[in-house]
Amino acid sequence: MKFQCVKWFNNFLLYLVIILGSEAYALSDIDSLFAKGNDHFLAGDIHQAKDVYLSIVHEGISNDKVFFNLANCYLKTGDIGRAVYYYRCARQINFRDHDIRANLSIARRIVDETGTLYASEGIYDRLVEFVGYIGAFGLSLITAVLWLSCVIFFIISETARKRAIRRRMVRVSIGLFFMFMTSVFFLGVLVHYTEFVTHAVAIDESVIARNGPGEHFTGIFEQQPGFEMVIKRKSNGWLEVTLPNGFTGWVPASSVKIL
Amino acid sequence: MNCKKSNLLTSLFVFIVIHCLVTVVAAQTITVTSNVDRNRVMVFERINYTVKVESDSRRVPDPIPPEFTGFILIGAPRTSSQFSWVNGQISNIRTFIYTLEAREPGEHIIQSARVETRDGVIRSAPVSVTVLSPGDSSDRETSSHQHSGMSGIRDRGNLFLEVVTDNDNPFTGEAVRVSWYVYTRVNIRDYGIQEEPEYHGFWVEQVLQPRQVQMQTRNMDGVEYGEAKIHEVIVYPTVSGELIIPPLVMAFQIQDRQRDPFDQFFSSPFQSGMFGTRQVTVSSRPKALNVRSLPETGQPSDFSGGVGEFHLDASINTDRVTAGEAIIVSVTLSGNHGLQTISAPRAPSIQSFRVFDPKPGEITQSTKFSGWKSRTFDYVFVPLTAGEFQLPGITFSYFNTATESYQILKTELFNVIVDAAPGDMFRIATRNNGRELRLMNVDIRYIKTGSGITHYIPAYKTVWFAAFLLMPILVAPVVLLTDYRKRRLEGDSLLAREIRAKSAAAKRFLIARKACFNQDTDCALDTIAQAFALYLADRLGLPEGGITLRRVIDAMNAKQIDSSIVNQVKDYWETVESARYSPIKPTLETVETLTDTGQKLVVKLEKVKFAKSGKTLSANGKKQ
Repeated sequence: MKFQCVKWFNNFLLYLVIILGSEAYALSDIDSLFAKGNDHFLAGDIHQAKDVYLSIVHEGISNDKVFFNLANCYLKTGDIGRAVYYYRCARQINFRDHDIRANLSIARRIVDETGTLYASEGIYDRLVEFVGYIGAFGLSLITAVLWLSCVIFFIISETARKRAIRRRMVRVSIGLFFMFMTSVFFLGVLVHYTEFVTHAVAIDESVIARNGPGEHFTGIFEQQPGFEMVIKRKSNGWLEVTLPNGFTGWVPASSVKIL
Repeated sequence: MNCKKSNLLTSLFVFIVIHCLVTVVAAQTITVTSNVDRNRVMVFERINYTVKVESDSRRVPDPIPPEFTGFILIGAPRTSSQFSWVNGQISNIRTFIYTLEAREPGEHIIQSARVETRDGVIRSAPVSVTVLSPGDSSDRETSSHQHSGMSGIRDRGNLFLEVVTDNDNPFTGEAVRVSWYVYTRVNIRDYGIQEEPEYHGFWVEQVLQPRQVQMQTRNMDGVEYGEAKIHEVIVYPTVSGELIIPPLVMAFQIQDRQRDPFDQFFSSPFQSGMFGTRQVTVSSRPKALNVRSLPETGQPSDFSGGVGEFHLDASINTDRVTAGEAIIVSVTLSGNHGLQTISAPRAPSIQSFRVFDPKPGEITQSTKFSGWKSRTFDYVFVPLTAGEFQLPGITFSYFNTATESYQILKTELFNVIVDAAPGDMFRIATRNNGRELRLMNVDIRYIKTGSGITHYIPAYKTVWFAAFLLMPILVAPVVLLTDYRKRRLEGDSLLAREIRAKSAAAKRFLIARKACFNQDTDCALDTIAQAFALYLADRLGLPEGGITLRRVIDAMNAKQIDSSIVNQVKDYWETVESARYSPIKPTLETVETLTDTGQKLVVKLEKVKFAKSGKTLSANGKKQ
């Protein structure tokens, strides 16, 4: 029995080493690919750099640096639609990064020369901007710590022998609970924005958005590459989308890239 | 007496006068008549419908006009009144003139106008009016020149307007030049448009006419007229079918004494003292156009909407630039008509270039084609990367009315060389005319380097986050229960002893084993005895001091422990005691055996649940 346990443990260690090793090898491989892409970019070979970054993305790696560099490649080659898309991908991961924000702002300025597309920003957008600035990691950490503290102080209040300490701890735990609820609300906004609101970016050259899911419907506005939109619903290969300025219409699903 | 007689006569006179007046009022007669100034009119022409109410009393009631089917009423009626009293006969006439505009061709009957009095309703006779459509030529003579006016003064035969179009059968979107000519045999001092036509189904472009018109002589049916073009527009039909150019209403100031029309047209205002002037309002006839729709077959997908004849030219400002600087391709579209209605040809998209929407220039006279106009569109291409490129041609599709087919024009291709910009700056140059188009003057933030490229998972989806959230939920009950137990133990010492009995005995047995290991059998036996006795005291709730076998057995019996268990306890107790106090020192093995037996017995006793009262429990805890 003891021998068998030792054998299992050894096997487990072996598997762990193999898995971690392969992971580490894969990561080092991706690192070298990333460095290769950067070299191409710095050498002015934007198309090669773009291909290398794309190969990393196709490996299933979601990384803000990769997305950012890839978006730069697309912006340099004039593909504004995909540039905006990958800047958005990068920003989704790292809201706080100033480089991503700056370049996305430039790309948006190119897309929206008249300044009417992003004219109106609602409370929800500002809230998302705020919680995004704190970041998913920050919010999760704050929420977890507050929750833990709240429970600890609750336990202390329940186990305290002295009445005065008990009262004080109850107050602290109530305060911590409200802070925790606020944090949960902010985290909920972030989760809603990133997980439940479907965003998309137009990549095709000027597509007419129509008032119904089909070519026979009347055109409402002309969708340019780089237009960011929220998907409301889908029907027969068509998407009902809403632009930041509130314009709503149906566009072919193939003309946009969903985040 | 005289005074009374006088009063009587006065009263009689007043009575007679009042009686006469009442009689006159009661006998009031009212007549209502109505007529129109013309019974045959063209569509969009205007007629006057006059209602005359005549009464032999001072008061004349207002007439109630009928429904004007096929006409629309223009403004409020004009009224005039005429009052006369000759030889006691009162004649009071009020005239109401309604201006109507014919809208529907056909025979129309204007129903009676009516006046309501105390004696009843008095009606006029209905009036019949024939409204002709512009295409009806049978009444051309009767309805064209003779009807010149719409109200008041009219000068039939000597002054009329004629409308002329250069194409009565155009395509949708094709330009049609519409000219109005005045024919006159009277002196005209001044003129002006009184009412601009309302064009339905047309996009209209005004053509400026010189104020000093050129008068020519024209012989019409043996009568010489002065002819001059006084108004002109270019219309673009926006729908197909029969469309009507409505009449143009013009006001002329004419001189009463006829003079030579060639010299006196627009004569000096200082001459007005020599001749009396009056104003004449003249309306032209409406004109029908039969508009054809554009053929659907062969229509290009990027059809611009242009109809007519066009020509496309292009030029480039430079063929070598630095990345970020603008290349401007000027495309000149020339056409005979309709440049205002045509949007700029769409800018082609090209990889590695930022293409701005073209901005149309002013419409000017074409220097290349006589009588044509041209418009230049500047297309701005901003290269984003260095290299050699070929700018695609710009296409323009239109419908050629000469060949009655669609045609596509395309500009030539331009080869450009783009040099790399220092610092790869995104700067967009100014346009040719010096007006700054756009200057971003900002560069994108450079690429991110470094290692550690890992797959991103949001923190709220990670295991540690879930653990952080779950851990307090799991730990809190444990802590609270522990605390509860502790409090309970603190409040119940017997229970505390009972719970701690096993662990305390185990510790003591361990000490005994150590003593055995050290071959100290006396110490080991004392410890074994103490361990067992104290264990029983803790379990049975007996005081630790002065515990004896007798008290233990009594207590066990009181708690209704199974007798076999009691006997085992008794046997073990006595064995240990005999070993302790035996004059022969027990061997080490014996002590170890006692230790083992004691521990096993403790384990066995742990399984026995000591009842509070009344029930006997066996060694395995079952009720008996």
